[in-house]
Amino acid sequence: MKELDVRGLSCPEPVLILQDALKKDKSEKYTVLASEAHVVKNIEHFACSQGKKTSVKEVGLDYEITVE
Amino acid sequence: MRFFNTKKGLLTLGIIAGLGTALLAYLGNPKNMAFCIACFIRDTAGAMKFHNAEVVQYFRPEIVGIIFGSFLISLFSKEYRSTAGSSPVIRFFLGVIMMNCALVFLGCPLRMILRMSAGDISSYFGLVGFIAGIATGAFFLRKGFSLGKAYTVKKENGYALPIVVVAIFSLVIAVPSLFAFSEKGPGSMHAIWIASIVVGLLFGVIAQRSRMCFAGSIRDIILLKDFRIFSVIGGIFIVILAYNLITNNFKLVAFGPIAHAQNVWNILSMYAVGFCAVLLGGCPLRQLVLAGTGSSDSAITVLGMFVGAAFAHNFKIAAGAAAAKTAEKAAVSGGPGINGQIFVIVSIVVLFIVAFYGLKKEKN
Repeated sequence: MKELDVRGLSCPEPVLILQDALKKDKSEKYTVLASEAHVVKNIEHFACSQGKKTSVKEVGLDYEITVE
Repeated sequence: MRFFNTKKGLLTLGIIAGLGTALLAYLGNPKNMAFCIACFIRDTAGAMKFHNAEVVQYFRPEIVGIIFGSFLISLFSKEYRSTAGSSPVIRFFLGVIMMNCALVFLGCPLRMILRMSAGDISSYFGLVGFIAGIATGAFFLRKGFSLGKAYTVKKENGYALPIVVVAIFSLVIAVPSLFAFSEKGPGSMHAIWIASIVVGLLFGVIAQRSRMCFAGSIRDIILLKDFRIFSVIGGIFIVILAYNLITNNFKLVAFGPIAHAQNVWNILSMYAVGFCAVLLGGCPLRQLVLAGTGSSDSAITVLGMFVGAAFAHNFKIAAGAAAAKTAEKAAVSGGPGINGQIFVIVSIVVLFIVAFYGLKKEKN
């Protein structure tokens, strides 16, 4: 399980960070920490387009997205 | 709500936003400027006497509506997050650049779409520059460009801009004599304020839900082959095209009303707007929406656009509109003067400097 902290980054940087991570290791499970709802939607959509499953958990004001 | 995250759902939201825009054109907003973020911020700056261009002074309720609409919906959907700290001063000046270059083209990306849907060929030259600018920004994003992280701040920071714009708008209604109102020109053309504020609020809600962004739509296609945001823009284009065809407003001409056919400058100015919007993470409309959802960095960008709009007219950077020859008047070619031309070139150089700056990694 690897953690990607994309909190506070402007669009589309969070998705590009996940894209790079998946390029390096597609079989790895990732936890993406995000701070904005639109980032969550973009991460979920991108992960699904790559054949990944996602689940979202709210942690305080942040979001924790599991991509596997 | 999942539906609105699909291509069909986003197309639907775009169609609703397009209908709102057509309604404003029908009710009196300038026909191919029914909804233009750059022009409306410029008119608002004029109404508050930050510049003295008499034909473009009117406090546009649509701007207030977008900021407050996205503010309300983000509170309601619990998506409101107060953040700040991602290169705010650089963002301010990028806001200034984005506004000035938009006013050299004579419109923001939204108005470019409206002009395109009315058959204005000069706007298609703008589109070429806009796409090239976005592609340049996307290249730097791919290389790791970032203006840095924003951090969570006290929630009241994000309340400031929505509350202030509503307070000033209330003052416009209560004591209009404090403000300037154009008697002729585009500033004198407007829908009744209640319609403007309602459509503005609706537009703010739709733009927040759909993540509508004119630069983002093309950027996501280039970087991620993702056509979702493009569907929203497609919806607006289709509706306005239909409106123009029905009302006999579609005319394939070198330049439409309040536009110019100095196409080198149309391309270069929109190149700067597209490049700048990608570096900022969103077009002028998206900046208003993000400012409403609590981003102080976007609020600073909006203030940069406001100051930039006044600057554009005080320093003669905004382009003039072209006009065809009539019985009384000779033809006017319009376009930017020397000040505007220098500003666009310097802006492009500055954008490259900012893009290289953004490649530097942050030290933790």
